[in-house]
Amino acid sequence: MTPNKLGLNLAMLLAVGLPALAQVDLSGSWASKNHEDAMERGAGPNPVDWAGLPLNEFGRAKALAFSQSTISMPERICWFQTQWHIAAGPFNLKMWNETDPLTGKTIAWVVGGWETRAPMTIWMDGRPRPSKNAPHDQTGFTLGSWDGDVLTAVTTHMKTGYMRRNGAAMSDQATMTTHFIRHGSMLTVAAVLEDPVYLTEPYILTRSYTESPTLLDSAGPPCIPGDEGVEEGRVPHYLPGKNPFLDEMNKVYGIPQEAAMGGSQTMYPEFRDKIKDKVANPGKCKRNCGN
Amino acid sequence: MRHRISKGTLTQLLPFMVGLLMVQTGLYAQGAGGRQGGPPPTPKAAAPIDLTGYWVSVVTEDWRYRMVMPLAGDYQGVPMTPAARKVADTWDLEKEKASPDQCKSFGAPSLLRVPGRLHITWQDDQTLRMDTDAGKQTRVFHFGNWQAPAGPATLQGDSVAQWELPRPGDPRQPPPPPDPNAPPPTHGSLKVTTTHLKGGYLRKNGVPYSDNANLMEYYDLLREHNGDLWMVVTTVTTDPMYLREPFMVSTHFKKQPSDAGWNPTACSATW
Amino acid sequence: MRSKLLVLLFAGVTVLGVRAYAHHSFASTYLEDQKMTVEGNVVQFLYRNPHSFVHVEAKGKDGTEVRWAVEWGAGGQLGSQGINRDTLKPGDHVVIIGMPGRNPDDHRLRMMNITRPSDGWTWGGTVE
Repeated sequence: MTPNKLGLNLAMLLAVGLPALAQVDLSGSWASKNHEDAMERGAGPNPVDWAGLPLNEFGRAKALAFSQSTISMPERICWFQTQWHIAAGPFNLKMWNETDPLTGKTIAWVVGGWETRAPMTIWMDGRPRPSKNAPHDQTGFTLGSWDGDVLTAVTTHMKTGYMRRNGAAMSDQATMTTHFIRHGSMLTVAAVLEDPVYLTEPYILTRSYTESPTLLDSAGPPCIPGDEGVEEGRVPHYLPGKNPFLDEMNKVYGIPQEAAMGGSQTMYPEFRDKIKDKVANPGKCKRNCGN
Repeated sequence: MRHRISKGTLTQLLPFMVGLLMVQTGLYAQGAGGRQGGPPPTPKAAAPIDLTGYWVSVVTEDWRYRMVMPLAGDYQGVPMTPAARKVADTWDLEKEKASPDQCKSFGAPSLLRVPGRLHITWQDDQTLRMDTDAGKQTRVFHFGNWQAPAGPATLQGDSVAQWELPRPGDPRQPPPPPDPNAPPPTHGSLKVTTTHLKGGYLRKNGVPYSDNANLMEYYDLLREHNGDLWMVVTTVTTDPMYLREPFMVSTHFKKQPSDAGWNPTACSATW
Repeated sequence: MRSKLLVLLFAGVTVLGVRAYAHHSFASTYLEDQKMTVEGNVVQFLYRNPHSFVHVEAKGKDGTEVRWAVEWGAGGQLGSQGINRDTLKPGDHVVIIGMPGRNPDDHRLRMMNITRPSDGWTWGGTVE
């Protein structure tokens, strides 16, 4: 073998042996394990159940004015869910990376969309975030970075949406930070929502997924507008003090109104001492009992 | 036209390539904090993340199963077998109140779902200890080749721990210079496997796990831009008797600067 | 003969509790511990995502015609149970049992059971 060939072979050997950058492969079809908040994420939460949500008075007032019939209005039939629906909804996640065609390096990770949630493109190529005055759209704008083996994505420029599907709204000033943590065939997604308009402090949800051998679609099925029974021109709502479901959580679960109204205090253990004497005997489950 | 690497270029490149090969091999052989030829660092010294301190539950999920007594028969989300359902359907609130064993829902598979505070410390260089104020429970995570002593199954079981480190980076990239003002790193995880558990409740309303249950947990740290430090614990409970698939939840805690709010309370079957 | 067999098959089908997930919250939209019955004629069958709707005109207590919107499963979910866009046609006389909507002005139900007496076709269950 000539010295040149030896050198080339040695260089190739070393190049093959060099480890990749410290990036985890998050691509794949991830099945959502809806073992926590099963009802809230799936069939949907009870009315006036905002326990554990750090709502401020504006967030609470907005939620109390909400009628579920609102999203059957012709204009809102296919009202898009924001990226927060990744954490608040029940759906599986399809993830893949987009690469530079010349270098092969990852320039973005994508969390596929579903029904009324647009895909989340997590830009990894160091591009700048748009001006805060740039238009907001259904996808929002997301920049990502690696912290060790954890992918952290920060999303801004979202449109208004919901935090919980019973009227707890999120504003278009919200920022969502999503951490993707992979352990073998498990994925934990921790999502933190900060909303200066409706929340007093960050709101965090953590969800679990397992790698699925079943190939997931990267989008769809699309929402199709149609007549859901709310005629044009009617805007379902409740005036202040007129929401008829204030006592729902108490009637069904024995949970007092001050808990159901939410607020940051409802997230912390000491709140239990406050409500201990106000919690009614819960009795037996009559609906949405699971299994 | 054929391109050749000149002899001179090759001579210059060869030491670099050999050195690169040695560095690469060295990185893979090296554990975190280790030095070639010396004793391996203790688990405490090798900890890639600092879990010690006080942590508070932030209950934003499964609120009505954790902050208050859930309804009898409300099993939403738990992948129960028919056998588990049969057991759970016999649960009785008054019987539980009167029971001498009030700690059934404070076992390792469900302990972190009970709202409260955690205090994590190093018991010694090989052992991490977690105390909870709710239920006054203690879990002990043993690193290394620890063998569980013989004896009956217990509420907290026997836990073996190991650090999971992020994979090595590209040696072509020089490591960043150490910054004494930088916050502690959040790279790496704690993995804990717990066996030898005494059966208990996954939820206070009698959703059971059996003596055959095992637990696997991952503890991760996340630092937010506002300075909040979160500990996220992913918990997987397997139980061939009472769970038709692994029961998987993730629980989050916020780091506290002190023991303020630490409030040890006895186990309660109903609160 | 084959089409008769298919009709018989559909007539006999009762499907229970296929789980999937709601675009909006069922618990917040419907009174899930109540049931009511509406009998009338189909005016529209919207076979779509995220939720199909059957619009039925029925006589109210005062004799006036009221249009009810009955929420059903997504097109894909129903399709997997043998229900397609031609399963119901305008003019079909149906009897529907469902959970009433929380807002009475909506005249809305969540489908639990539908029967078409003319050929005995029926479907039952809940689709989330």
